[in-house]
Amino acid sequence: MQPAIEAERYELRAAPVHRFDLARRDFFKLLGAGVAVFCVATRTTNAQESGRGGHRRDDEDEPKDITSWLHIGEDGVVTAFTGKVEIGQNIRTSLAQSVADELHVPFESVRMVMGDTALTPFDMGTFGSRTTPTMAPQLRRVANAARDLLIQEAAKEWGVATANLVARDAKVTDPGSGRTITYAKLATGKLLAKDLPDADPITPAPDWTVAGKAISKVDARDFVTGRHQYTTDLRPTGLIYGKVLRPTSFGAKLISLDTTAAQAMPGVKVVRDGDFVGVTALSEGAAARAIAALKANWSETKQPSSRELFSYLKNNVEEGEDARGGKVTGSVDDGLSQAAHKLSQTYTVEYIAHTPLEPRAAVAEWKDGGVTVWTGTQRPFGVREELSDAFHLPKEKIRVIVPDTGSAYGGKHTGDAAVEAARLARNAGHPVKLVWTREEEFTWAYFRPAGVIDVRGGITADGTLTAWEFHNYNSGGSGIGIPYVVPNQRVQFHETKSPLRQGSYRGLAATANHFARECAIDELAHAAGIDPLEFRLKNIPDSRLRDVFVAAATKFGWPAKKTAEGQGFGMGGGIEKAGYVATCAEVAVDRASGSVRIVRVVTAFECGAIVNPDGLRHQVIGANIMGLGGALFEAIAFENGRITNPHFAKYRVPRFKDVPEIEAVLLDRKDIPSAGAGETPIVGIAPAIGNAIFDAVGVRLRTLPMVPNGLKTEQNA
Amino acid sequence: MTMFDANYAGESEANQKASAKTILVNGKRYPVTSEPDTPLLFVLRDEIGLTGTKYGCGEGQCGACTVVVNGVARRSCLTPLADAFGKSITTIEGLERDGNLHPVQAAFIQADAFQCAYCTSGMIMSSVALLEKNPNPSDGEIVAGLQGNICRCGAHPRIVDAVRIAAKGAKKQSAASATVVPVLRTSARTTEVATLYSANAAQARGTSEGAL
Repeated sequence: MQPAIEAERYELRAAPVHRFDLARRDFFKLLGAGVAVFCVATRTTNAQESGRGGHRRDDEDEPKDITSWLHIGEDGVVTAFTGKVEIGQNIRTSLAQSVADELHVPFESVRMVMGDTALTPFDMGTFGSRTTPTMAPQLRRVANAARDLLIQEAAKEWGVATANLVARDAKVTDPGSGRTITYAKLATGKLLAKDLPDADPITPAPDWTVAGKAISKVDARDFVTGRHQYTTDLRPTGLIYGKVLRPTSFGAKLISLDTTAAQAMPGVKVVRDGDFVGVTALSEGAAARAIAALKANWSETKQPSSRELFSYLKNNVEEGEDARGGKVTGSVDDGLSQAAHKLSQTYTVEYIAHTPLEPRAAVAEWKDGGVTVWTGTQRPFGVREELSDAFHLPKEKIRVIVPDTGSAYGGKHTGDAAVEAARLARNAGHPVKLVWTREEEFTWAYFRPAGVIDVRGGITADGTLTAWEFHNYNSGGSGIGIPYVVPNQRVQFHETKSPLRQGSYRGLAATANHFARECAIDELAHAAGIDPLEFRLKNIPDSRLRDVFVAAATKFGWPAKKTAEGQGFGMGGGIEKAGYVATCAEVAVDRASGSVRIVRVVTAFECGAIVNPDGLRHQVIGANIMGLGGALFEAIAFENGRITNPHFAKYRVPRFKDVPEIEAVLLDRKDIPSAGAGETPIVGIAPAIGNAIFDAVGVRLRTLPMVPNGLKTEQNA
Repeated sequence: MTMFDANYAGESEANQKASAKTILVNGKRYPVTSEPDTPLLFVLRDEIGLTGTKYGCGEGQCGACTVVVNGVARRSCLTPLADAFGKSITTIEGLERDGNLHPVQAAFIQADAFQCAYCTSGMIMSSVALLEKNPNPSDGEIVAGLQGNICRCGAHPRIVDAVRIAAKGAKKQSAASATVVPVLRTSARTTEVATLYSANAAQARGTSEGAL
């Protein structure tokens, strides 16, 4: 059993009220005859991803708690449905692997229908690294039930008992007589539907045949030929283009608006609805010109700026502190009094932006009083709810479709672009496409929360931790616990006011919390004169975490001998979302110029049984490269309600020259259920780099990003 | 007829009158009516309907909009239509010939050089231009040639692999290697820490040596 996963507060939203609406009788109309299995959540199976198992209605035709389903057609094509979305994490591939594996069909015969509120079952969203631990087993159970159903059909056909029949290679075989019949044949002419039995067993990882293997991204050819259509590429008939007039600063109120010049432009329509102002026009350029022609006056309010960010967070703790992540054991003061070496330090983390390469975008089309919106979001059903609220429409009148999306990293939980496009389209009487500019992306989306982390710790001369106190202000509670043995602890997350709009991000606060903890641990180990690896192996009780540290260190060649001036080695790691990670890094620091180069990174990761080693490698290496940006140079700068670096030219993300030699060591634990891997591999790199910089030049950096302008040393100060 | 429809018709007529100009894209001539200062990116995507070329920043910083103009990689978001007249433009849609992928496209699939793949068109076009100029680039030259293209998913090492593969037809060799270590030990919780460490260290060492 997986440990319960605590959702980040930023990922928590109002409880879902939507349920699947397509009646079962409509199902075969949509897909044709065949065999269908529905995964119905009950209190006992707890299968619903939303966690809301109850409220099952007695209307057999309209099960409201279906979480996934599957159809086998007369052509043998297997179609599996899930409300999860594909945003580059390649679950379209890995989920299809799990279905093919369980159903015993070729991988190529499975197609996934994902993230469409009219076709797929309700799903809370694609976040929190939950697809692999929750949706993959659900689809497996559905596939398994379908296989049983096909065996029963074959048994009926042949008038034999089911017990000896074998389902393999998309057919059922009777070993006694040698007879076989394909799934396609069994599905022909049938309208067979079945609800999933409560506790159908699924294939254990050691017996997987399709899952567990490296399979390349499905539809790869569409992506290398430009044929795949992201939201931004859709061009329905009659399409026109939308653009929104953004306020001059956050929270500014519209005082006056003169639309005369804009409305005189050919093909331009202006919409004003409260403080929302937008235009539609016949081209992107015309829409931009129309926006520029609007004369608006805004009333602004004074707001905090970057330079006062950390004092602001410390001084604006909200009442009713969030108790989640809060934990007190023993007495920190007693523990500190037993310590030979003590540490008291403050760590900070700036706001950073997701900057998905495909900006937030939507295409909206109204028809018969309802609206269809195509948009890249991690929460299609959440966006449907936003649209329902915005337009006072029943959900039956709204359809949200998520084309495979140009990445998200936790940044696409909301439906801003969807609501804006729908508002403009309602006025225009045409389908409208709205694509946020990069500057809008950097300004009007939300950010990974900034934070301040205060740490106190104590260690005995022989390297035993005696005390640990850890306070995170604002950045979040994920990964806040300490995976080392410490008898006296106080660990707490403090909610504060935030100067900027903030939300989810890959790994969220776990990055900052691991940075602070693993750097402080490194500092304490150094104070006691103990090698950082030896210290960890001595004080970490969880063997899985020790395993990844050993695996990373071994591959890295820890402890490494220095061969050059400015060379340094460091490590960091931890446990988050049921995944185990350890990263070792080598840096090269040039004291004269202050330049810091990451030379080499090894990250070991263990998330139970590996579903697709190639996809997992992508996630691990990709997370490390992404994490390198936040570790070294990414930071949002803001001044009185404005973002002052809303461009790639001023906001540095990792590029090819920043990417070190990087290796992933993937520990495959077939005896442990698979956990997700999209987030956790990001948390080890920042502390590994920070500790390596210390090893290189003896300077402790306690801010993220660490070297936005290079390392300040005596030589270059 | 609404105000909007009247305007729509009005502009269409005006456009038709002005449509003497054409641009040459992927060997095909397309009439265009956009203003001469319109970024080529929007002409390709919205007027011609070739949406394989992506918008990423509109500022020439991310490379998602890269096309090849007369053999040179250009940022189509910063290239005004006026500069495209009389030139030969190749977009991602123009690489495939008779159903056969361009070697760079095939190499991107072979190296699995993408995650969300939104940057892929631009990466491929930059790589095509790089290899046309320098058919046998060093790793440093590949990195320098792609420095203007942003990938947010972190597929960089595999993209470099893909360019290597396309350049040499060489075997896939990765700067970003991965080792899968099967760990089949179910009694971890009951094992003594010290024993476990040495056992694990030996196991991990053995595996990595085997892999290297």
